[in-house]
Amino acid sequence: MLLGAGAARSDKADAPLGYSLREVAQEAGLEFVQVCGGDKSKKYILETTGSGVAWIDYDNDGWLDIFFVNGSHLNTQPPGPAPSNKLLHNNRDGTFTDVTAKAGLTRSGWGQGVCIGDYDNDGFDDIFVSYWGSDVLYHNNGDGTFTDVSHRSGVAGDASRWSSGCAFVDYDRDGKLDLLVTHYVKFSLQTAKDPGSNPYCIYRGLSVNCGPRGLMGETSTLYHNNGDGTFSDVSVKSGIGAPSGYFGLGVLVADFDNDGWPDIYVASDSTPSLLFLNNHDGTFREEGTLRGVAFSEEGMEQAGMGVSAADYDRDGWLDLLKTNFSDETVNLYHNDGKAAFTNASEAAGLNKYTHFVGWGCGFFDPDNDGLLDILYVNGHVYPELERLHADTTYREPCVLYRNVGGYFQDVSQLAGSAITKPATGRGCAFGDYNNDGCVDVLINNQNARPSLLKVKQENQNHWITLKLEGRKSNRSAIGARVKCRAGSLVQIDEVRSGGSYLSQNDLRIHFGLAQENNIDLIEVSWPSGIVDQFCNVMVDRFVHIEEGGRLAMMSKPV
Amino acid sequence: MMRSRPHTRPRQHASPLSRRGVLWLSLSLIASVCAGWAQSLPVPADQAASKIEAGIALLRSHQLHPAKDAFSAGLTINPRSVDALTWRGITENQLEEYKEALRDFDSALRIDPDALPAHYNLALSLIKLGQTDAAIKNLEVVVKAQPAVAEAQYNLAILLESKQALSQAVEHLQAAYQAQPEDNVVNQHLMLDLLLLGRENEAQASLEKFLQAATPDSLQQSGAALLAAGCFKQAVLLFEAEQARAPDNRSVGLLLARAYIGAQEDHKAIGLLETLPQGDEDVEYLRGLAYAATGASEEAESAFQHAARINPRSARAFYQLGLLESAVPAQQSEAIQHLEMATQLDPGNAAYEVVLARILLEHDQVSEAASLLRRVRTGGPESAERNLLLGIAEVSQGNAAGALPKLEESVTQNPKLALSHNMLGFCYFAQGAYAKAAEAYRDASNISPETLIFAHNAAIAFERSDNLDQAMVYAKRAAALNAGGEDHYVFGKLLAKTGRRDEAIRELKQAIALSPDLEASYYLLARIYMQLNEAEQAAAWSAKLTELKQKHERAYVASKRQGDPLASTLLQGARLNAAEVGNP
Repeated sequence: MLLGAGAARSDKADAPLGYSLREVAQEAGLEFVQVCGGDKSKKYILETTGSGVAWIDYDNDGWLDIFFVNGSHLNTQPPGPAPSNKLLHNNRDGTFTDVTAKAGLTRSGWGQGVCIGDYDNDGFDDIFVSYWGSDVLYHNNGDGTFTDVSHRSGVAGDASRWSSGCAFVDYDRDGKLDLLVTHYVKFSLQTAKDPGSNPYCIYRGLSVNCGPRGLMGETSTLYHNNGDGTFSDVSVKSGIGAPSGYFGLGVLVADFDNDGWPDIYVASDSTPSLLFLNNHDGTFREEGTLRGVAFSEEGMEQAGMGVSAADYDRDGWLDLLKTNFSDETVNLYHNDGKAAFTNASEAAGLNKYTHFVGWGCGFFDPDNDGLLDILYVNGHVYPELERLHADTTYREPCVLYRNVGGYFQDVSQLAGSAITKPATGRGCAFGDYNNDGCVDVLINNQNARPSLLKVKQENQNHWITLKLEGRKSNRSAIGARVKCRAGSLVQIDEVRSGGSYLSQNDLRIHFGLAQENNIDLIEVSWPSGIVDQFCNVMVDRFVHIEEGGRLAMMSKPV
Repeated sequence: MMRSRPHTRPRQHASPLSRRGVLWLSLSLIASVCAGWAQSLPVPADQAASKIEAGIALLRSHQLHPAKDAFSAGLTINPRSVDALTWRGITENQLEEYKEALRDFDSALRIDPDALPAHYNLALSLIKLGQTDAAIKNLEVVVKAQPAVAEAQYNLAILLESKQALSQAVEHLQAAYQAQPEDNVVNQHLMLDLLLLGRENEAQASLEKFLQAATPDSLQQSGAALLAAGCFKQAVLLFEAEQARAPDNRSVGLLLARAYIGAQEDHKAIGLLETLPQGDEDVEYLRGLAYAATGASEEAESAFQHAARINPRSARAFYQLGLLESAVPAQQSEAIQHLEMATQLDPGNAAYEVVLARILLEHDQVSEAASLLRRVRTGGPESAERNLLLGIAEVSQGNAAGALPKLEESVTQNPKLALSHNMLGFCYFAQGAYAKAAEAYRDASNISPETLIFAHNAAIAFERSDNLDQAMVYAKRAAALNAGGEDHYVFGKLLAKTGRRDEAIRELKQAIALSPDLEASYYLLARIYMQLNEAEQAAAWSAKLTELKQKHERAYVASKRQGDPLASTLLQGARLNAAEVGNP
């Protein structure tokens, strides 16, 4: 399982990263400040969760644009425009331009998460934004503008509800993207309790915002795409809505048991996380506890914020990463096969940090060596703690682990200030924004400017980036499974909506290929059931694959 | 968490070579010229010999420099004269020119390796130069050739005593005693060494003879030596015999009482102390010690209080009082007060300061304890405990990194202090250095294998550092120590990780039997059955887990409802103002 981890550990112990990481948000022109209530103290839990961020190629020019979700103020709005979500267009030169107003995406509110998918299969990716309040579905008009179709489509939800993580998923494989939205906690400003007002509002002796324990938990909502621009709530019918009383945050869709049908994982704060396994008949069964992904290794509830899936040890099964609260470590659940998981955090070396509150996270391959590394962002929820506890800070650094063969080395220091500079990280999305073959990282810091971590390759490793387009399957190809074999390197991944923390990664699939200079096989298993295979694919290319066997290669996207 | 440990003190001996011995060496060699050893020094028959004779005469009349010159003149005439070299060396020893003397004796022995006077006097030079081992070798040559020379045997025995080679010392003392049975000093040393070796039967004859001739000083000296070495039973023998001779002797009575206490014959001590004149601080103090040893805390406390009243400057009485009070929850402030008095009355007493610091730490007076510990100056056995407590103080203040150097020093100073290893492990663990933590916890557990927490910690740390083999060793040890469910769970978890599922199930069921509220056991059982494809069992245990969690949740909610909200440390219930909200 661990790919000769022992030898690999010592071989790569002090090896250079093979890439550099630089924070370039300002020079990229990312003019955005996330607002989420107070910064020096937080009266309510609403001010703690931050917002997500999405990579989206909304204009199909092959270059990733950015959609930032924004929150709001608790008290009186200070002078100036109200905080709004933002859409930033990629100028293809490393900079971005604010096109929010032009796109019709200006909106204020307590924005939470974002997920991307072409729900109407018109060739343009649409945007769903979850809120504390009514959720919003934006239809991409294909001309650089969007239309709010929330109510018309039936996914606005209850205006009093707190939605969090979301993901488009074709759960019934009918070729149309459905939508999963999870919910955090029942919360109302009218009835919310003040810090310290009851024992649930005390942390380490400090009066802090209340919850989530002590507040009423929630369920998740599954919307079925009717194919006519509308959705139907099938939460109960599907079984998704059956478990209740939990505090859902991160949502992750992946085929964990390799049966060709998407499963759904909901990371839940302070309550057991949930694994909904697809029964192939429009229903799901929840088996998180039995399959070992609900709790810590000791069977204890953990926080559960950000989630990511990847086959980190290249055994052909998608594994699961989840971030947690301070005094907990991240979970690395190794898929032993058929969605039976073992907590491998300790064995994989991921149990080093116990002081951070983790949020957005992901597997990615910045050095293109074919081994997926891990990055997660951190930031505490109680700024008040800084005043009294020396071992805890509100602003926390990111953590970067290098995969050395199933075992992970902490290379945070090696990566430099882009990683180690403390911040209030929340949403985090991975994508190659400058199309140089290296996956970059975008972070939506709470109550602060974002961070854009630009990865620049410093080795000779090869790579391939795949843009999939469904025909019989949903147009975004969400749920498509790709296997890439290059020499002895065999990797899998899926096109995925949602994930990380309330965020959306680049829908393209990227594989690092180490020194392999030819791809022997790319195999795409589409949600429709069609399987396409392509042999002898060139490396260091952007490849566009259409369902049915069409492949086009580009050195750069057009 | 903290336990008091007995302190051992180094043994005290008479100086390696008594003043008497030194004096003997210088004069006896002169005498030996005239007596038995004169045969080994042939009468010089030439001019060199006449110079030597002249030098000897000058030496006798204490004209040391002229004597040296005479021997040097002899060497000028005959550079290979062993006698001249030896006599000049003797003179140089008298002049305290030990390096020069050593050179002359070495030269003499190069010419004649069997020259016993040269060996003997070389030993003296070597002793003065601190080369005890070499001195011993030279004396051994002498006694081997001349076993009947009591002084050589005696001095060799003294040197061997200084090296703690008591058995060998006894041999030479016995030889010296045989040669000179009337020598009381030889007898005293022989008696002491035999007693220290636990050879009471053999010591009996020496003891009786010693007591016949012993002066109060020599008795006290011998008894003190035995007490200091912790040979309490032997000291009892000595003092009982003396007390039988002089029952009204207060000093002997006190020493005997002290010896009884050390030998754990506390009731005898109490009985004896009652016969001694009362109103005496020494008597009350010893009575307190005796009562404390029998567990009669009230009587002990009363005795120490009485001792302190008799002598308000009796630091030891306050110290003992404080120790007794520290064991009573209601008397903690008195304990601290009395220990503080002890340290004030006897400043620089590291033992008192360390104990006070420990009590302060136990009562969460961390900064006071740390401040006190930093002032403690000791190079003795308290050093390790001082550094351990300093480390604990740092850890209590959330500074595990700062505690590390102190704890590492403690471990170096006393590798057998298990708690130091354990605390070191804690600090490493807090930093995420699990492999180092595991080693430290392992050391603690190996020093004190009966301590559950050490074994438990080692198991956890080894598991965290992915060393399952070692983790199993310590988990098994912990589980075997009449542990509760948690340690059976840990062992079971490790068995499961190593694929020994049947054994894991057994341990987990045992864990549940011992600790039915331990959720982790149910969870792991469900997981194992799932891995074994026993879906029914898996579901059953999963259901039990859910039921247990619901029960715990109800209890948790109920406890939260009953508890008073803690007073806000920051907001004090006040409304937030704009500065507090801190809008960007």
